[in-house]
Amino acid sequence: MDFLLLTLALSVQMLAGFGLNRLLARNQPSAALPELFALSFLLGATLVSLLLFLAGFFVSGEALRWFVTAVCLAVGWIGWRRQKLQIRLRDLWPPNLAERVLLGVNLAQIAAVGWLCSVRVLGWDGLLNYEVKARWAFLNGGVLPLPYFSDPTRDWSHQDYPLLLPLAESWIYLWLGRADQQLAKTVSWMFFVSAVCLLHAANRRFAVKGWQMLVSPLMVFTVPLMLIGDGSASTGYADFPMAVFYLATIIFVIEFWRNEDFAALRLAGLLAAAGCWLKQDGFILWFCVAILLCLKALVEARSWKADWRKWLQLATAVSLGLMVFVGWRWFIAFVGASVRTEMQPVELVTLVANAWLLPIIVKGVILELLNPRHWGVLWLLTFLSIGWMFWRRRASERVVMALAVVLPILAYASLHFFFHGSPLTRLLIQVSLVAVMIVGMAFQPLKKINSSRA
Amino acid sequence: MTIDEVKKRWLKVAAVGVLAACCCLFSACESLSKANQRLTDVAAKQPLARSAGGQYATTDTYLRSLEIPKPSERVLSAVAQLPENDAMMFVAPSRTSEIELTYRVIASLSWPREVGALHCRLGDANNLQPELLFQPRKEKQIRWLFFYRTSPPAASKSVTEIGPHLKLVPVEEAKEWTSYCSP
Repeated sequence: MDFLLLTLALSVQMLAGFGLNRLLARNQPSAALPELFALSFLLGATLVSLLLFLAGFFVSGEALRWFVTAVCLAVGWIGWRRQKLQIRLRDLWPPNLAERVLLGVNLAQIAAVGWLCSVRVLGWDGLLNYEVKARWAFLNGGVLPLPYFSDPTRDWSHQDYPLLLPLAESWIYLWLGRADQQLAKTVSWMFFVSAVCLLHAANRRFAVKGWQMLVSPLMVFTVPLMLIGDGSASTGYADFPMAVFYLATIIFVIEFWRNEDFAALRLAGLLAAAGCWLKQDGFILWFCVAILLCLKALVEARSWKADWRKWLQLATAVSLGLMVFVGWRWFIAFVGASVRTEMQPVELVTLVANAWLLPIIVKGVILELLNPRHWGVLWLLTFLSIGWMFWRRRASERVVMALAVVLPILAYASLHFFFHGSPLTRLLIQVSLVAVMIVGMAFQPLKKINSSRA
Repeated sequence: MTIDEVKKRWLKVAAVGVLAACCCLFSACESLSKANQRLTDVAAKQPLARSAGGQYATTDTYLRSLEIPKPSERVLSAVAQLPENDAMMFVAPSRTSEIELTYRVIASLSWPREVGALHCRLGDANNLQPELLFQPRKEKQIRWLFFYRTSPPAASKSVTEIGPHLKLVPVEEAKEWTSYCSP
């Protein structure tokens, strides 16, 4: 029965995500199934958590659950009506040996992480920052009561953290009829499945074919911190989910750079905004994405000059994340939540005063990036791959890919000027999946690069 | 050989294969469980990283220090009898990461009751001042005290023993919280 209810909860959520994806990605009747799966989950989790939060001001309990279910079904149906999918069953079976091996590797990875999730506990933050909020929301009819946000004895649960992850877990509890810490890990596991699907989708979109497709999924299993440890896929922290959202965002940012596809721009904007609803650090990643999109606008300024619609679409996509961030900060201030911060004010004066930290920070970042116990050889290969791409690939892509990795790392490293306890290791997890994708793309043979350009 | 014959032959082969796989699985069940155990020892080496399984998979693991079976359910059943508006105070001898974790897990299980934290710093030669880490809102009355690894006042009449290291005691008279730190 639990399995049935869990499947139902995830299906309703993914149907909503599917509908949203179809509404946004117009003129793309055929999408790869793995990409569709991942986007359905990511967008579905975002929509369900947002609906639970907003509708929770008016209803709770069974009424809330059925209201959210009705909206999800409606969004799914409208999305399907707007643009039907063209999926042939025979496309599901991989056409050649390399892809069959890839499928086997992916299934083995998914099973291994599922097993890891089942034998390991939620990490400290996974339980005390996220799962407890899901549990409390469930016990209160799916809604976190307003007094919670100003309760001084729950200050340790970080009342100012956004609620995507807790409410996605709470959605499962609402369907199960009980809070269950073992089944809550299904959400973390689904984020890993989405990551695997997105790496597959990136291969497909960027014409990585044959045995080279195996590089990125295999790379995932060489990075210990992606699987075990604080922030990894098995701990219920928000860092790995953030990495999945960022990977999805960057895939669509690159697609937008390559083909000026405004459907990809809409998806990138929405996914970057979802990152702001997942964790506060999402705002930093959103800012990096905004820089990449604005750079594209600068490059295309001449050709877009007359077309105000393109500018409007770009502004809408970029501002979405800002709206989510400002909206959440306003809510936090409105309810009087305690904001725990040991950060010094982010000002030029502080930066100048702490400038002496620069060599220490640079050394710390380099040592962390090269730490094999955390990262294997991921970052070394990533920077080698970026160098290789600068030599071989066309300018637009290499700039986007390099900045997608370098900008967040610089931003996270520079946090140390203002906050000495910044958890760089965990923050790097958020960029690690994009790094894995870049390493995978660097292995693409030159003739395939040329054919993909054509 | 016609296509139907080929299909039938493949069906037979598949059926035999499935049967053989089932037999192998059944016979290997014990070895599989042993292998699973060995792998778990590698993947979740630390006792605090290993899931206890079930509804309270993580909180049960984190409350191992209480040294009782099903600690989450024991805490929940003790707290369930208390009015939801009553606030509580968690009194502990010092401030270590183990005590911090235990406090937070117990506070999370006590929802919606507010649970403050008082660390007595017993045995800390450098700082003998007790530390009131979290305090419930003024409008909430603290009517219950958790004593973790420290003894409740000798005069306490009704002591609920959740485990050898955790006791739940009603507040019988209003006095300074720090007085509960005196041995």
